[in-house]
Amino acid sequence: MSERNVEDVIGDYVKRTRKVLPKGREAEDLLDDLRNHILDSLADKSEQKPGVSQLELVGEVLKELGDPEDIAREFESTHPEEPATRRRKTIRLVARLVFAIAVVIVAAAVVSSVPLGQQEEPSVDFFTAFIVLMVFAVAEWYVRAWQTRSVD
Amino acid sequence: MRRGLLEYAVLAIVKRHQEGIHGYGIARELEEKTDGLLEVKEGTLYPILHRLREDRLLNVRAERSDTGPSRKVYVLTGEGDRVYRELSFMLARMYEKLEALSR
Repeated sequence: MSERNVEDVIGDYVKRTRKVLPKGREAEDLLDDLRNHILDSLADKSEQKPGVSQLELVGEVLKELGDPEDIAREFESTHPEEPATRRRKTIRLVARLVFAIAVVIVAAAVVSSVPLGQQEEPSVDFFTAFIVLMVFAVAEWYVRAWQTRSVD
Repeated sequence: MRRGLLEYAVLAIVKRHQEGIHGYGIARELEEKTDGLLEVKEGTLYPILHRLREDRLLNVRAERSDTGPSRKVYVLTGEGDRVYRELSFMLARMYEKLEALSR
């Protein structure tokens, strides 16, 4: 049982660190290094303190390793984002925003021009449809961003 | 300044291990040899090792590990050795000048 718990603790630490590191291969490589370090340190401590539980030892190892936030801060200061990467990210974000607004405008135009049942008038005007759809689009954006963070 | 000293200390440790040394070994030596003077959280050492590798001051080779997946072993490159010697010279001169101030 204790072995399983140790794995959980290590897994949680790695997961927390992944969350605060920028995405990418470099970060994954760093996480592999941290995982190896934890295993090496744990093996070392187990030899030095045979009477102490693995769970207690892994706590010591992680304390010595530091908070994931400290590691992320060091990573960001040693790997400053290239201006080209920043520019690409901004372009991608603006493109997504423009596309989302265009889709909402088209959807609002369609919804506001289709009459409901026997009525000749559409059930909703363009402006209301636009606002409602924009709220959905923003909510979807947030949920997706939150899910992406949670999956990691 | 702290990071500069830390990078220098890492280069010094790796230089002493011509056959190479893994990240955990570097962290241990850093703690033991400096009595924790640099106050390094071990995890923050890895971004620095990555940076030194990107700057081609360190090279990496994979080694099988008894405790898990294969791990990286760091060795000093020719450029790393040159930078280390330059830094050593610079630090020695700085120390000399600072000592002269207190005389």
